[in-house]
Amino acid sequence: MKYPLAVTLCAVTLVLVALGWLNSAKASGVSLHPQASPEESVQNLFRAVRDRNWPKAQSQLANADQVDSSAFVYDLAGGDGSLRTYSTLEGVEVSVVHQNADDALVRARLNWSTAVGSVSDTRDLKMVRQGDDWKVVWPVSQTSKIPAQVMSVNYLRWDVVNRGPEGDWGTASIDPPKVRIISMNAVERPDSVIVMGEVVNEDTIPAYVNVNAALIDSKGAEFREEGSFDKVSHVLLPSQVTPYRIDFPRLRLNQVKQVRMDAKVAAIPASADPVIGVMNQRMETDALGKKLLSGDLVNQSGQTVNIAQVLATCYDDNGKVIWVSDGYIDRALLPMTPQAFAVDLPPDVASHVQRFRVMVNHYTRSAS
Amino acid sequence: MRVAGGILLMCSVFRVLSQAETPPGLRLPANVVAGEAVTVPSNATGSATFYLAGPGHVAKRNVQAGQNIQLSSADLSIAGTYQAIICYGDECSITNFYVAPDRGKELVFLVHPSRIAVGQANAISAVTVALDRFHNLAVQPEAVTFRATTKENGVSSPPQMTRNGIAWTRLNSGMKDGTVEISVSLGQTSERRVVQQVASEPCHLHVSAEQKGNQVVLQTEPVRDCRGNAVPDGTIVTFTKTDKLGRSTVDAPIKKGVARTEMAFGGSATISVACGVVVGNDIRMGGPR
Repeated sequence: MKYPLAVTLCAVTLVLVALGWLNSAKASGVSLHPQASPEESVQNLFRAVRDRNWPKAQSQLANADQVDSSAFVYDLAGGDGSLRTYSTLEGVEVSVVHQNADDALVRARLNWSTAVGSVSDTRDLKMVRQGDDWKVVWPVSQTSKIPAQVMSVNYLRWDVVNRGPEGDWGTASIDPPKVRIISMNAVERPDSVIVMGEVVNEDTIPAYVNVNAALIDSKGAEFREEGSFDKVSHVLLPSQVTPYRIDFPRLRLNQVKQVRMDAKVAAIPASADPVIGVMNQRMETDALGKKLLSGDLVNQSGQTVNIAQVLATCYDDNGKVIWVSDGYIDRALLPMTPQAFAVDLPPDVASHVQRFRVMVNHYTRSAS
Repeated sequence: MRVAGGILLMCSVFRVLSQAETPPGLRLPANVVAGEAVTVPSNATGSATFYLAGPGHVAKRNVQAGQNIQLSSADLSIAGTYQAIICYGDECSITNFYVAPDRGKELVFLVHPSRIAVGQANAISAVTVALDRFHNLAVQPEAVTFRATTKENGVSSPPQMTRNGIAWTRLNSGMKDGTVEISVSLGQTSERRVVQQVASEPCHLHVSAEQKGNQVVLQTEPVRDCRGNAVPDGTIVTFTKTDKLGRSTVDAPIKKGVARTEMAFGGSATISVACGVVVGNDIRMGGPR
């Protein structure tokens, strides 16, 4: 060998370049070798989803020829102004539930970053081996579509006419709606104190409601104040009841002597539509062993509801509110089309729940 | 700026007064009414300066010998205690006088609440405040009359005298829903407000169910209170269906007097209805009877 050092350096350089290329290809989701495990295959699928590379994502499916492309994209990217359209896939946690030589079941927990905070979506995916690869058998959408029709709606709406800032003192104005806090319960959780209860609109006009709680210590001084933020239905129609929940993180109940409640109320323009039914409400345990309150939402109007939020109130056998849970639905509610929902319940609370009530907050893009 | 200037002048006047001997004061009329022009004899022998300081108004005039001081209607439009000050060189004298409010010409009328359920005793409060033409509180007693008018009839109270410019009354709400116009009058002046009388809690809430294929249509009878008034449209009625699949609820607003919804029907079910604190009838559908 005349130039051993030069040859060695060239060989090492070539090996390093090849390794670098392989790693960069792997990082960008390019499959240079058969996907050796179901987990890897699922990770590749959702990497393509995160990159919104739909053709590539669909190529990871075992039943790509049976899955409608637009339905696949609608499923993962959302549509109709739903919460999913304002979401980004942040990460996926994958675990194999069981695996045989030719098929497997993989549980994927998709963590979405959305306009209202992080939302998780757990899916059990069937996998099949195709040659050296594992492919996902994507569930074929069975969503029934209602036939084209005209739905007549007796639209009911309230408008508020004010005299404006130039109104004279002593002239008549609109009294704020009569709203009453009908229950309040303060409970201690491992990391916080939670104040919850219900509010009813006892008036004949819609009310805008915001519930605040101030905590008083043993010396009679107010030391913390929080609002219900989105854990309440802010717009209450006549005779409607909403739960509220106010969280005080990093606090123990023995630090609180008294809770001072305050409901801020105003007359607000509102509509009585759309009506959303909460069907087949039931308590169940999911595959991960978590207690859930689940059911289906049915939008009974002809208008698409873009974003819906479920507020669930749980009562004990004395009728006391013991938990308020909420969850956003990341799908739009299409007219007369059931949309499943589920909200978590802490296991210690679930065992005491005797009765529950679910209501729906909604946001409709064209109406707001 | 003028007011600030006036205050500065006043301060200097008071400073001078504390140092100088007081000259003879002004003779003002015993009863001055807001908005009345007044002539004050000055008794000035040479040139003097006249200051008027009242609630919200300050004025300064130069006065010559033999000249009377004219206080215009605008100078004395606000009721209250005024100070008339006349200064001859460094010597000033102060005369206090009171400007009383004029007779009541305007009314402020406060009616509460703007919505009330029918059949409530002493539930409507009507308060009126009498003001003169310059918006001073007309403290002398004035006779005012309250009147409540509905579509069907109207009632008037006997004339009631204001006390310190204020008169009030309490009214029962009627037995029928609709608007009631509440007015108050003082001479030719009157003010009116509208109170909406609304139905109270529903009475005898009744739902009927009709099966249409795999749907069940639920509809209430016209929702009325115990006096027969229609519960306002928009009031939420909760329909509940309990079957083997769980519990289904729909919060449906009353529209055109009735609440209506549709639910899927898949066998034996119990249906109930509620509105506020009122619970209606139960219906059992399908299954063994």
